[in-house]
Amino acid sequence: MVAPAGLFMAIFFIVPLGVLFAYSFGATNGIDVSFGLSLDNYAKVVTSPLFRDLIWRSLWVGSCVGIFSIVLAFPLAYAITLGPLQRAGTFVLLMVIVSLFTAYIVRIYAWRTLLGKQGAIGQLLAAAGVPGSPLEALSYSKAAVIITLVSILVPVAVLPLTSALSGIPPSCIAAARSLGATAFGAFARITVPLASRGIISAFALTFVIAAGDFITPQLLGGPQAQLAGNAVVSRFGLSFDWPLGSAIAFTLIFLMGALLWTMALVLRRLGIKDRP
Amino acid sequence: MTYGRASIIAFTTYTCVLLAFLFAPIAVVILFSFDSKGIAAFPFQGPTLSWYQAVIADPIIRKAALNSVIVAVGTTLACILIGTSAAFVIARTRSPSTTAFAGLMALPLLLPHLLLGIALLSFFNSIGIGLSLWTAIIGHVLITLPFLVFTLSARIAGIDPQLSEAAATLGASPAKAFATVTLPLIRSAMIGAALLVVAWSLDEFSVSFLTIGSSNTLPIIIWGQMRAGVSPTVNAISALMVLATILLVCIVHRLADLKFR
Repeated sequence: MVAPAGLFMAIFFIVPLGVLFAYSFGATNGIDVSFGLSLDNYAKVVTSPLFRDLIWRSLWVGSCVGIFSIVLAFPLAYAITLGPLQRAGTFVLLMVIVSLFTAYIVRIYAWRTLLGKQGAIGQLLAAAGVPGSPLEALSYSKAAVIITLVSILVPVAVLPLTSALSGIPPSCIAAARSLGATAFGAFARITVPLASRGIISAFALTFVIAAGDFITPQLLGGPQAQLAGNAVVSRFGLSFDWPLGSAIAFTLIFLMGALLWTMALVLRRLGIKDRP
Repeated sequence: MTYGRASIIAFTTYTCVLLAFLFAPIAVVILFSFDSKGIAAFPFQGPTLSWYQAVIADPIIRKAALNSVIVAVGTTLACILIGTSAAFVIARTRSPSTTAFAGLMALPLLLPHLLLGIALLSFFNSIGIGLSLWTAIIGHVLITLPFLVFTLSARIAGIDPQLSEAAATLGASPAKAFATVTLPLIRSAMIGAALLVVAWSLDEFSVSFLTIGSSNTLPIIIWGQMRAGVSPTVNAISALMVLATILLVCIVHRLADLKFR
């Protein structure tokens, strides 16, 4: 019964990842890729300040986007599960799903329309006589990339948070309150720990998408806001160097995995487990 | 739990502001798709449908829309064919190998699409397969299959296995038990998951971009127009794509009562 899906995954997932990994030890003459066992590509990634900066910035932007998405999504998820908006929950969740399924590229285009140099917000401010353009600093910057990615990924964070929070019996919180916990105390010591699994999956999902993105920085980030994904895509495109592109990609994935792993270990040390 | 007036107002305001943050940019784009100026900038010059006429009249955009639909339909059919049996296995059997299989199926969800795209690109290149709509369909199946499998397996896990056992006891063949008992119970979930795969595939950009070669889909047209800096029809294309998404999600919601949580 697993044969069709298993076969598909073997041929089009495991083998391609293997080929890509093998490429990262190969070389190119500008026309063809030759397999090899050289660590040159990884040496380039590790020693070049350019690639180091790009990878570091990807991890940093990914973490910021993950944290901001959760901070923004949590109150909404709380409102429709344990909070006062439970009856509107279905409608709010439907809106979130519509946003989630709206094309990534359309949402990036929409944000560029708002934030870009001739963006609608800048024009409104100028028309209202606001001196200088506060958006000049915002457009084509790291901040523009982060804002856009957060708005794209908030719906991704809402779903695991909603699912985790809806599994918490309100009686648990009521019990803590009746035993003398303040509202904040009950929230910090009952609700958040019980929702930790949802928080961790929300962070992992949003972090991976943001840190591995190349579209938003390409279309909204200036030269100072490019991410490692852009370096990978350009190695697979214009500057034909697939082995180097592959080495950048695997270095990035390895460090992303290491960061998530460390986070899980730290949380476990603090007594918060990824499983209830 | 009861909530005071202040917290109801606070939560309602917050939810509205957050939804506005999600939808305001899209609303602006839709608004400007009806403006005769053709770029998304104030002031309005007057309402027009000419951008929609331009979209419909443009053969390149029409071709890209057709490609988008072909890839979405191909992806969805392939996902259902490949994924349904896998969903049954994940829902109905408990063993270390099932857990490993479920983990493998979930893995593409945890990797950036960029990595999946360049892996497929390298794979097709190394075995000498040229890029086409077919390779793009394979890329789309790779990213949507986990979604379909886990949505379906969640529904299947909720069905009492004794129902099909009862059918078997009453003399139904396994095929008949499946067709008359199990399939009707999962049909709504299958339709819902399939429509969401359609929506996802229509909107997918990064994997298409890396695996489709020289063909276009609508998201690739938008990318190209944005890169070129001239985007007279992007507003209208975007508005039509948003409309398609809203329609598909609402149909799923009405028809399939899929629980999104």
